Amino acid sequence: MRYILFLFSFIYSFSGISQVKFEKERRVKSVEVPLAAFNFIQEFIPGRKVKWFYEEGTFGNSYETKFKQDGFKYSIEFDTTGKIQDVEIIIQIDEIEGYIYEKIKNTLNDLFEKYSIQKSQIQYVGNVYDLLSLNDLKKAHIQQLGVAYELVVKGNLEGKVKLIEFNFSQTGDLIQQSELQLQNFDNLVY
Amino acid sequence: MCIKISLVVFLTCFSLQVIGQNSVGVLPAINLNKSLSKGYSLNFKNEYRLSAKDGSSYLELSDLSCMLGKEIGINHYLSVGLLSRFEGSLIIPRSIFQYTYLHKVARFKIAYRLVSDQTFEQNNSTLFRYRFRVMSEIPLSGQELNKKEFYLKVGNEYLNRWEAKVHSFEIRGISALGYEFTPKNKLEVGLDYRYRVNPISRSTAWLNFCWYLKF
Repeated sequence: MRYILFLFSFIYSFSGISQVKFEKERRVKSVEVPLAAFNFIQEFIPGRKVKWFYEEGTFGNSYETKFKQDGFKYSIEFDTTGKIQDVEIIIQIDEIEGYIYEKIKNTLNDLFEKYSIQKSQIQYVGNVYDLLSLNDLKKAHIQQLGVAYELVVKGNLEGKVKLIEFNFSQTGDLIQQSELQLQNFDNLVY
Repeated sequence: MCIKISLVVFLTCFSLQVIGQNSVGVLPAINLNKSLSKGYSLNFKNEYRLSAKDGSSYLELSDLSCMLGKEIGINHYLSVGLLSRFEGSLIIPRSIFQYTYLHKVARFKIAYRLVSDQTFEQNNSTLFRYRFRVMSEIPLSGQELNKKEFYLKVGNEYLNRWEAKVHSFEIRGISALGYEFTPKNKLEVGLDYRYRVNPISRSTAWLNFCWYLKF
């Protein structure tokens, strides 16, 4: 039974079936943030004040901070105990290495009739020591870190406009896709 | 805290703007939207203009419009429609054609809108107007707007009009505090300041109330 359940969840995660992802974030004060998370940021960018957010989502709750460093936009996520989850950096899609970029583009072209990439991020996971090295990208321990790509894409899928978050592996394979709630723009159009 | 500051700024701005204006008043409106298949949508808007004069207010006019919209590309929208203006015993028709491009930059949602409209008035020349508006929506809690959260809406509009070869130019500043009950139900209260540069300079300030509903 356990084997069947495992097999089902494995197939499901790679099947490309969309799940509607829910996310809601609110600003929190730095004193509300777990100490381990606060200390990590103090070490990552000493002396800098950052904005903290508490995020409630389909896949659990977390603390997140977003800031700019050396011209790069960082987003660092921690679990509710303050354990670091990942470091994300906003990139342009064409900054992804050639053959990976082509692979991602082919996947998107196969899925969508028309699409527009709303956001692209590179995601690093690993131990605290190696993640801390990302504060200076020239000296970062990239080889020791796990890399993935996260893309938010708006496009025509099965005749409907949808907003979808994609997770691609380091080699450009599609790991997961989740449908996001489309924003209502009527108050800006009319 | 941010919401309280915004409210204070709005009320202060409005009070300051009202002083010395040629015209002040209230613009309550309801804006109804319906999504149709294949990227089409319908928009109905009913707006009233309540002006203040000699210490009393009166209904100056009301507008009723219907627009058919089509998403022609990702974040590109075209709309065509008709507006009827009820002014006293007169009904003045206006045809409208608009193009909107939406853009998201970090926490800002920005809409660039180009509108061309023609107003057909009896006993008057046809009025042609060309407008360009940039409008931004900024969530006040977090990076994305979620239900039961406040947001700011700020923007500018530049309006050119020609009537019997006479040109006039107007600049509008729009700012509003909005509340999203649900993604399909939003309420906005704000200030609409209009300054006509030529041929005769004139400024007006309006308090805006607009309720957006989507079905």
